[in-house]
Amino acid sequence: MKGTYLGEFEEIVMLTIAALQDEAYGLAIKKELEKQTERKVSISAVHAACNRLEDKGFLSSFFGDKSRERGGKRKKIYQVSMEGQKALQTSYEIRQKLWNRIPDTAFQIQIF
Amino acid sequence: MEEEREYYDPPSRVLQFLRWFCADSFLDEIEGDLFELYQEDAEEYGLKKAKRRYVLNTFRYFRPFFWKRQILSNSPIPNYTMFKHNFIIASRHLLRHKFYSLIKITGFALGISAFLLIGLFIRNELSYDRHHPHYERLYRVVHSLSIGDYEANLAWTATPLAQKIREEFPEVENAARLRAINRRLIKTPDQASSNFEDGFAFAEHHALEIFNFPLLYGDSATALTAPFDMIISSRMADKYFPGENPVGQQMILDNNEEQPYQIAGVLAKTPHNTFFDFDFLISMEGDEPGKSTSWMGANYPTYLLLSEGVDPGEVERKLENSIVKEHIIPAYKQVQSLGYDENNGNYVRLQLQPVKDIHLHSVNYIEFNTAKGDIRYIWIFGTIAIFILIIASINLMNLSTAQSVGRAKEVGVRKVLGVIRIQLIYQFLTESMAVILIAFVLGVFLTELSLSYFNQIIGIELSIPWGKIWFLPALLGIALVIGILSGLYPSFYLSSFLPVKVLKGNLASGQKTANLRSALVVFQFAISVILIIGTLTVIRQMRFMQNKKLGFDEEQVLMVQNTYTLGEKPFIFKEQISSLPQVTNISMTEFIPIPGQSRSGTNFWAGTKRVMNQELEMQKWTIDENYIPTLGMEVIAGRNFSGENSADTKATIINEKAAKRLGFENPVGEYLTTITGYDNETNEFVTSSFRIIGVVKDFHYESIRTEIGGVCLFLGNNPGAAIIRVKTDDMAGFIAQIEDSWMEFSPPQAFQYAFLDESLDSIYQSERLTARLFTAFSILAIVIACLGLFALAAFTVEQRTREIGIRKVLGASAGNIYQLLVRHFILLLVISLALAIPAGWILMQKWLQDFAYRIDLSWDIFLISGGIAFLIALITISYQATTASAANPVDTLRQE
Repeated sequence: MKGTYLGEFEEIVMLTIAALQDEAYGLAIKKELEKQTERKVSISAVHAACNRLEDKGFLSSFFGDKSRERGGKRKKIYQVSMEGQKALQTSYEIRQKLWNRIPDTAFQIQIF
Repeated sequence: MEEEREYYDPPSRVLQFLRWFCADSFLDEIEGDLFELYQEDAEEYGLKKAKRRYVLNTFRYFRPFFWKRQILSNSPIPNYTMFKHNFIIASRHLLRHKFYSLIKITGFALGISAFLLIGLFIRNELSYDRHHPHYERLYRVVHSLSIGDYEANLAWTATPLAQKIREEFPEVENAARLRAINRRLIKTPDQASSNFEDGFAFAEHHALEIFNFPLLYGDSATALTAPFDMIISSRMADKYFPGENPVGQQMILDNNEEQPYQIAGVLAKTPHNTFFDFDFLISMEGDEPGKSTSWMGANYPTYLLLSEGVDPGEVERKLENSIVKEHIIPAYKQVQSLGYDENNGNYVRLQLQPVKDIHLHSVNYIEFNTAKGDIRYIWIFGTIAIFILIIASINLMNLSTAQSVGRAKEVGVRKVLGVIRIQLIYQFLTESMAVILIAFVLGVFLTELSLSYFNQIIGIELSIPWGKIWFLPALLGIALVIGILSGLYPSFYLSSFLPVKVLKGNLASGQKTANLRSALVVFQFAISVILIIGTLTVIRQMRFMQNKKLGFDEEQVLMVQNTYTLGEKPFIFKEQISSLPQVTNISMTEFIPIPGQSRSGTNFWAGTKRVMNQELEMQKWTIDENYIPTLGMEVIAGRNFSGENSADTKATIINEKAAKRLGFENPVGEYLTTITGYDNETNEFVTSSFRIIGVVKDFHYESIRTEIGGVCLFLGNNPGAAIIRVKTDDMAGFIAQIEDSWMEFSPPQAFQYAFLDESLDSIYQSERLTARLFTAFSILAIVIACLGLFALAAFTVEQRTREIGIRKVLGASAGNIYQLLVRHFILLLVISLALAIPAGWILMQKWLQDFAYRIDLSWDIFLISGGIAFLIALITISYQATTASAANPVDTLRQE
């Protein structure tokens, strides 16, 4: 079904949103992502992903207060919806399954 | 905790931009985030970098995802959704009316195809000789003169001109002579016998500096500086020295073993669009006549590379003053018998012609290489191409407006729903653009397909320049322009319907536009008819020229070239051959009546004395007594030369034109005087008088385009070539026999022969090509015009279906209906013819002026052209009319 597939970037955005809880708005998501993944993330990519996820129904949002720091604009805070949580869980389970299929002798380095 | 914090303002322009394009639903959070990020960046990186990052980040948001979506936009600026919407409607419309769409697209695709083909051809023609470095400064000196009776435009100049210019003209950076010469015998030292090759030229080493003749091997600074240097082309190098670097090797020219030539370089392959196409460049240092310092005559083309910033007019003036006045005219005046006299209108003029113009603009210059184009044909074909495109566009417009009636309701409803006019215009423009774009793609595809066939016809390798970066954009640009132009009128018309009228059903069935449509049809057809007239005229003229009696019998005549190379023995060869049973007659001379063969012009005077200012320039040919019978010429007065009569060496036979020019009514028995030699001591020409013993009927010896000049024949021994009249069924066997005979003579030479009629035939190739191109494009134009007519007829019939049904019920026969439908179109066709025939007549008259011997523009050409057009149109319309008149009224009158 169209729209249920979760891309890699979308997934990590959602995970970050879940971690940030009440502070999960655009800029915070971006900064947290950059800190945790150690890679550059553009703010526009974050916004595009968040809005797309919201269209798909994986995220819900509400508006915070206006603040002077944001030039008088409100924050849009995202939360992971039930659908989103289910999608994340599915993704997690699939990963686990795939990892469990790998025999011990497959990798030369210690991953787990 | 209250903090007094200073906030930086982000760049306002960029912010405005964001607010303009971004959808409101995102604007808040995006603007806020950007602002916050900006503050942090300013703290961390400083204001300047922060601004840069702000700009960058903002632009990153400029993607369709974030754009404002306006479904009903009042702004006249088209946007993405609107295009998408229009496009969908346009494609639905196209698919729903497959018939009309197909006709529109096909017609236009054909038009594009024709346009592209002609365009490629013209582009090729215009591109000659632009690959030389500084080609804008490259000129050649052309020479027009009038001395006595002789007037000519020559591409040759005096021998010492180049050197003089190099010495005394600082305005000219470099000058070089480059002269193409007749075919020569050539071989490598270890080959047994020589071959004839074409493409020889004498060149000064300066030519390598001026022109772009890149050398694969050899050093262009030194090649051609030694007297017996030679540069050969890469294809000749492959032929004679396959797989090796031939520099330093020798070649033997004209069997002169004592003086071999050294290969000093190998020419890389030159592009085909150049006037300079040589296989062998021979150093002029070894050309003795090239060292002459005489200022008379014109034997060497001279090319100049002007210094930067020099105006060619300046050089011309200097040439006039320091060369013409100081050297050339005095040289001519020295020789009294030439009769140079300014007061009599004689002149000598040297002018500069840009080298890049040589290919197209030198039709009138007498010179060696005759494979040139003609700028006039470029104009003609260019105009035809544009007209074909116009016809196709007219089709488009006609059909669109014709379909308007069917869409009136649609327009009415949409307007009621609140669509404003501009949007409708965009809608209809999009539709016409869609048709045009599809047609373009199809047209380019068709061009690609037909290109190889087209190339074969015209003998040039054309190809679509996919690789050039300007090509696709240019094509797209043209498509857009044409699309918008031809779409504008229908769009405006279609969008103008008033909803009230339409929905009430009162819309008059496009009466006003019907008139415009008719006018356009008339125009289309008139152009097509003119094209047919043109084609018929061209074809007729070609056939006339091919069949015209040349004044001699060219069939079954074999020419064996270069018999002078047989050393002492050409006449023995002649004896041998004439004893063969298949030979009816054989004559030896270098003067053959084919354009491009040897000519010898000199001065003549009527009577027995040389009279000042009364010289006539005519041809002087030395032949033998068999010449006239071998070629089958007709002696209309007097007699032919007789081998036995020794007095005939002081006799001459002249042609009718010569007799006219000499002013003799009864030439036989009269005398003429001509130049027979040159006395080196007195610097004067020697003349003798000859008695006219016969008059021969005029014969063509140049192209039929030119007038026949005066020719005087003299008896003598001229072993230039052998002309053999043959009567045999086994030509191949006969040729083998002659070749055997030839081979007995030593040193063995290449046996070179040709048939007179074949040689003559090839002269008219370019005209045949024109005829073929004309035919092809006329057919194309008619097809496109008929397509339009077909569709228009279909539409008209459709409009009147109910009317036809009613008439049938009331008792009209199929015949009556047919007449009714067709009447309107007949009228249009008649008007077309009335316009096209006079126009065609005028145009063709002009074209025919070019030919000295031409057909009359008889009325039957126009009759046939009109008839053809009429017939085709009638068939086209009839198809629609007959189906309509046969329709069952029950079906047509049924209420929907």
